[in-house]
Amino acid sequence: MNPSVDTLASNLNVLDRLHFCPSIKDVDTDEFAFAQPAEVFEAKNGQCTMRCFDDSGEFLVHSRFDPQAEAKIQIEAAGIDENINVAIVFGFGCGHIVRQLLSEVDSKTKIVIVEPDLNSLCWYLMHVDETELLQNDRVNIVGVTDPISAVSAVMPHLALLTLKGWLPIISPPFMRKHSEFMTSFARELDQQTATQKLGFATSADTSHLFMTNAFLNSKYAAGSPGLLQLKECWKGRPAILISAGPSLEKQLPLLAEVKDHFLLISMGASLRTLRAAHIEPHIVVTVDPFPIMYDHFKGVKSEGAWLLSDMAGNPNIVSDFSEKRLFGHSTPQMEFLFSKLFGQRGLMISGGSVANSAFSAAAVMQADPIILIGQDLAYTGGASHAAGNVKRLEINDELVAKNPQKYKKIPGYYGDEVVTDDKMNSYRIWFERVIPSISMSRIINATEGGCMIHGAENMPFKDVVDQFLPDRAVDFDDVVSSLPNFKATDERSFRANVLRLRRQVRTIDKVAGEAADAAKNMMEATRKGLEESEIDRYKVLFNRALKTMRRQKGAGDLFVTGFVQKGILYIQRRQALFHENEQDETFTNYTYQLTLKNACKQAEQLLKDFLKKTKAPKKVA
Amino acid sequence: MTDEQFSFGAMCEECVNYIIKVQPTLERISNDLRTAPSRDLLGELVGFEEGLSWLVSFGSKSDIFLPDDELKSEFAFFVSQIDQGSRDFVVALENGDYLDLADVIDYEFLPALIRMRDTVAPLVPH
Repeated sequence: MNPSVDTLASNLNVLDRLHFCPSIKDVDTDEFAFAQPAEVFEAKNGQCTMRCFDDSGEFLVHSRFDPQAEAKIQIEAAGIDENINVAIVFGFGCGHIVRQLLSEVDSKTKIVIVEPDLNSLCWYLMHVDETELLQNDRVNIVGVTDPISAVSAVMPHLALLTLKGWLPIISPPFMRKHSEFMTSFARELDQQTATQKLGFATSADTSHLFMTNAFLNSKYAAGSPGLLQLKECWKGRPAILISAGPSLEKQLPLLAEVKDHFLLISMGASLRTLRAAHIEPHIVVTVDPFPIMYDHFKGVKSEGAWLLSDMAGNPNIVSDFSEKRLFGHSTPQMEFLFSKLFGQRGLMISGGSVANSAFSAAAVMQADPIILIGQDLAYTGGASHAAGNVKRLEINDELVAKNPQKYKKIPGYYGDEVVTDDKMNSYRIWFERVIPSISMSRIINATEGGCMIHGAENMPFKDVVDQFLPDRAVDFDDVVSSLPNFKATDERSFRANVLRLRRQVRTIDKVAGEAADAAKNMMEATRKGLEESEIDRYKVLFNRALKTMRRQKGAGDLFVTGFVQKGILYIQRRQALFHENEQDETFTNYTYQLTLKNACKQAEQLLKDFLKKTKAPKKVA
Repeated sequence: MTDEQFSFGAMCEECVNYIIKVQPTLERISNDLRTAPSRDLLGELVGFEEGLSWLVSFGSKSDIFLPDDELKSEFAFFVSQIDQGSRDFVVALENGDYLDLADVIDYEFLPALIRMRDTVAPLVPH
């Protein structure tokens, strides 16, 4: 078996087009003349095999007698069955496991190959023309050396919407050669899948609440600026993000001294603790839509603070806490939908926690530096929150030991180990992902406790104050009142836009009803064994309804689907995974249209209540 | 039947029984080496090495009891196969190469043992 530059070029051409191997072209194949990354040779059965080497000696990547039979054993041991639709193979080797999988699993199963050894992959691809295998649309190669990038590239294949079950296939030589990669990969995968699950569940379970809250808040948002208008408004000036972690307590005396000089952005959860220390923040951030979040605000009124709320934030907080309101949207879809009612307010991207959202806001405002305090994201001293917090939880070693799935140890602020949980850990991961993309602000973690947030600069709060204390006092009210790009939407225009939205909802309701009827008739006709021409007649009606529906794509569509996100996700998942024939598809279409009709009913009710309570305009446009 | 012939027959029986007993164990170890190797597996292989030495010794010293050249040649072939396998085995063990260990078991030791079993079985006295 002789290496050939032409063979490699053919393989790389396909690899580059169809797979994710961004750095493979950087591999210096000229070096292979002096140091070959592996030995590629013919096995006793005539198939290709490979041998690698490390400090402990030589070792086979595949059997030197019958690599394909070995691949069969390895797949069987991994336990693949009909519930698996994604197989992740670690290491390409000579492709035997991939080939065997293709012959064993059904056509819906995707195969993802994670290959951190680009040299060996290139070297092998110099020997064998694998263009046919590489062009198989069930095969996806992720060729990256960094485990974190590898996980990010693998995650789309593990999307919950289309995932039935997944299975890793790790051969002993891969573990020998890449044990460190594998450890980091597993840790990162654990974190990313937990975050994905949390996001999926939140999105599915709370979409109705999000939509209802956002709509109830919209009458305030119509007259208030948003993050889009606040863009760069605090450019080059420091801001302190005050979270409610246990380490907040020790910073309070110094914070009280400098409270008028730093822009204080407090999480809702920190409010009571700050009040007890006679500190009024300039901005209080709230994101959570749940009624229980009102506990942080119950009986607490702003004494000058602005409320920065996610559009879907708890409407009682939005209505009661402060007359001075600012808004942001957590998704582009929400931004698009509500822009049709009162214009754009900007995105306040979140990683799940209010601190993540507040951080996004500070970055949009281009505060510099952005200083974190109370951002423990861990059970510092066994507590979840600072004293005085209504949600404070206390844990002990016994509880941690009993719940290894929930609690884990991560690197601490001082290089020690601290205990965190899945949720807090996902917020930390979000910070670590986002911080490198913030180029206009220095990020300082002055928590002096809790977890280590990689990417943020650790600095004692006292040093931060010494270094960054501004001379002039905070004038945030002046800044907001002179925002150049903000124009409130008057009530008449707003009501007219709501009425337009209601018309769209009614159209969707009507069309969904027609489509559901046509789908139902199609199923009935098939069940009764009617003639094809009769079934086709219903198909035409159904397709016509879908065509009309497609024309409704816009605010009304987003508004309606927002009410039944969980049902729609369920249907999409069913569609992606279990469609065997045309009847399945018709049934799914039928249930989808019924789900839409149900959503229209909920949307219509909300709009009706809203319009009843809102003062009628003199003239509707 | 002389005592010596009786004793050789008993050894043949022992040889066949041992191979019958060890075959599934070796197949399991080989599978595990290809999928989930561990130090315990290597421990199990140490026990097998002793059995193998006994078989080689039996194969080498049986010459005088074997009735024809064909059988003598079969026994000699067995000994040479196991010798070669043992050398490969030691190299694989030194490299910590689990797949190579599995290859030696599957494609060198097991075929030789099965062939030996089939050769020796007719020599077991009934």
